[in-house]
Amino acid sequence: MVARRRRQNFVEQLLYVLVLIAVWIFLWDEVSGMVVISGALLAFALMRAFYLPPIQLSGRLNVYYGTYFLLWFVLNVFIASFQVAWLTVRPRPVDAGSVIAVDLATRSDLLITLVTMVNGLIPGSLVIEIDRARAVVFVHGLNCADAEELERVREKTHRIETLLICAIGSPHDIEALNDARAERGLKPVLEKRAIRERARRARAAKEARARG
Amino acid sequence: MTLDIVSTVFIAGAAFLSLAAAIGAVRFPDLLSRMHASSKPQLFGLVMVMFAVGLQIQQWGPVTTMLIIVLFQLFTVPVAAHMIGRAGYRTKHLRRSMLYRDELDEAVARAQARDVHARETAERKQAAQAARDKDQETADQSGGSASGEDRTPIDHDEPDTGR
Repeated sequence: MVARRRRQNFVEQLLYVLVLIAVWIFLWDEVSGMVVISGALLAFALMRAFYLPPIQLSGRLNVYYGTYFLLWFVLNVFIASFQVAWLTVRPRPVDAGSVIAVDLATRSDLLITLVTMVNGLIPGSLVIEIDRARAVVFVHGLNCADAEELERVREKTHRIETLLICAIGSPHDIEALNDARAERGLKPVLEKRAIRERARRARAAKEARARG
Repeated sequence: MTLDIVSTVFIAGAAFLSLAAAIGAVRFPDLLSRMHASSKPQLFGLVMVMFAVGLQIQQWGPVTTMLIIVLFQLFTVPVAAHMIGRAGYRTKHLRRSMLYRDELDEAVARAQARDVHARETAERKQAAQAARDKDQETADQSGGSASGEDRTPIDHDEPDTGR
């Protein structure tokens, strides 16, 4: 278990170094030995100097939902940008906004952060406060002065969370999400063989550990 | 030729969005609404300008650099907007009349009620402790016969942390 954790840590660290090297290459606009080596040195130095608490990656990536999420996100930013632009130039002034508490199913810091950021990138909604322990985000909706608009903002935040969990959430997050969806009377997501298989394997491993 | 037209359309769209951001920053009535106007349409406008420039230059070098620019904007803009909105809300730089519904206010009121409850509990505990100490002292002085008959039980009342 410890060995696995250490290996995962190593893989994650390697991932960060690779991303930093990629940024370095992008900045220099060329791929040469010099740039790669100096980038690697710089990446290691940066990771030593600016140590950050490790991000808990779930180790899961669903390419279908990841792509779906990205397309959905770009489309939403596009549409909402023009909607907000219209609100600014239309003759009638903008209505009052609302601050809406949205309960998230996940407790993962990474996912809460991502939901907050995506919410902040889509025009018309902005997270102004987070209750980390209870995973509640407080979303300010622009031009949101009736119950219907309120529900729309809430629905959108839940949609972001659902898509993100489907794309990169851990099996635990998926379970929590499906429990929350069942409460709201929605169909569960990702009831796929792969996930069930993984859960079954985890259970089997646990039983094996318990036995000996 | 087609490329030029596409680039023009993109730059015009970007200019419109940036203009809208500026107008919104002036016209919108309160801080939180202004945060929407000034951060988001501008960002998409920037992406459109970058796209248009990329179409015109068609070299990998500048395109990758612009990719980084957009990426860092994507990371920093929502964080900045969140922090300003949060600071604005916490320092009460907001117009209540421009909020149709405020569930954060309700949550804060609940949390404050919990705090008051916790403080009262702590004070009660402290008072009980002081009374007991006093009892102990008098008991010690009088030879330790009457050891605090009206001892207040310690209050284990936990503040309500449920949702």
